Amino acid sequence: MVQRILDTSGEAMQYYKKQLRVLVGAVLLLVVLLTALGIYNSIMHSGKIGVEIQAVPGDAQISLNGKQVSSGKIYLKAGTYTFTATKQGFDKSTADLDVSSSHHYVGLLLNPVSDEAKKWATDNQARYEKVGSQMADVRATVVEKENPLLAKLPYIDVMGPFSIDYTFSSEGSSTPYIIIKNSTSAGRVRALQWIRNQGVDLADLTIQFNDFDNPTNQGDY
Amino acid sequence: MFQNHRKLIRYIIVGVLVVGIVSSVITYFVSTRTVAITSKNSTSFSLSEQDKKTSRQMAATKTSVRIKKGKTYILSYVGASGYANGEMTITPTTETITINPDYSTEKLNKMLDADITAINTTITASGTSIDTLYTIQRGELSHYGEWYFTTLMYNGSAEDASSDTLVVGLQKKGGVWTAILTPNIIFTTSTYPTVSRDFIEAANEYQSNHVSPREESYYQ
Repeated sequence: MVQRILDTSGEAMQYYKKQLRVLVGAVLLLVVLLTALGIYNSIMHSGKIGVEIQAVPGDAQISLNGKQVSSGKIYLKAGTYTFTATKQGFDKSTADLDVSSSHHYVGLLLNPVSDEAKKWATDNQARYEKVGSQMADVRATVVEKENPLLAKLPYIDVMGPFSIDYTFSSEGSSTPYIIIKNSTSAGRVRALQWIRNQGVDLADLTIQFNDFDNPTNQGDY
Repeated sequence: MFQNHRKLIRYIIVGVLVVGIVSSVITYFVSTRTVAITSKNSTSFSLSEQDKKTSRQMAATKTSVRIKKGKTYILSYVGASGYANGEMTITPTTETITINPDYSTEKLNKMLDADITAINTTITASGTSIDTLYTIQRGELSHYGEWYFTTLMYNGSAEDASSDTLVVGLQKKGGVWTAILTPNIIFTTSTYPTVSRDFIEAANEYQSNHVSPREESYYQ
């Protein structure tokens, strides 16, 4: 009887040991696979920048420099790329992107043309707004990162007097221009000095003086 | 026995000295780097580490200097006759430096005296009502007498909406003065894409340094 119990417990021990070995083996295999995957990813993505692409409608065909790609995240080397989204019943949507370390999102909103597409767009207005809002957020983040001055605007100095703000030259543009307004001639000098004090080279900006009309009629701000 | 000890001590001293000298030489070469210097129209220059008072005097014929890695140096040069003295910064990444002084203030002033009438005529023609609305100030020549910047002081009341002091930038090409930057408050590369960035920056620096008293900044 005792011998039988001992035999049984020995077999159980053997069984558990085997199970443990399998488990340890599986964990090691998983670790090796994950490491290999990590190495593969880092090699494949080395020197590349992740770019998230989203189109509305989501099933639009997306091409990158003429080659078809799927929406979601892709990895690209730094450079300029043209993204195009097409879908029957909608206008083609195109976006040029200068992929650098700070750009990482492309939103392609297709304007509906056919009645069916227009109905779809009306029913899915929230999708347009969501992607549009994300595009605006990304653009603001990128622009502020590239132009630290913008993060400090609007700036108002009632004693100047002047106020400084910025806007974009056109819809979708990432080139901001600075607007100096509510100013006197002395205020404009102070506004320029305030910008200089932020470590910004005025030569790099596009500036519009709302209250200044150049009497020599030569300026075209 | 005693002789052996003395010999041993001598060997140790010589060994320590050799090791010290070799390590000093290695440390010197590892911790310093060479900056190539090209010099034109200067008689001598001196080099000093930033924020330190001691400086090394050198003849303008010297073509390279060895400086500490990772340190910023100020190179002060003495211009030859008719050329200005000046300073240049050697940053930790500077590999070559060219000393090429502009003309001296005295020489530039003489050149300006000769050209001021032609310059002011060009400025007057660079916009409308300049001769009636503004007083053209005597400005400054730079860049070997080929660049000229000045301010136009508004003649009317400081309360007028557009009574700003304007800056104008001229360039001499083929002996003729041309208004490259027509009168304005400030200049940017986006507004003047065909004008060199250096010229625009020089004009903006002039604006910054020549603010009229009524527009004196309270930030100073």
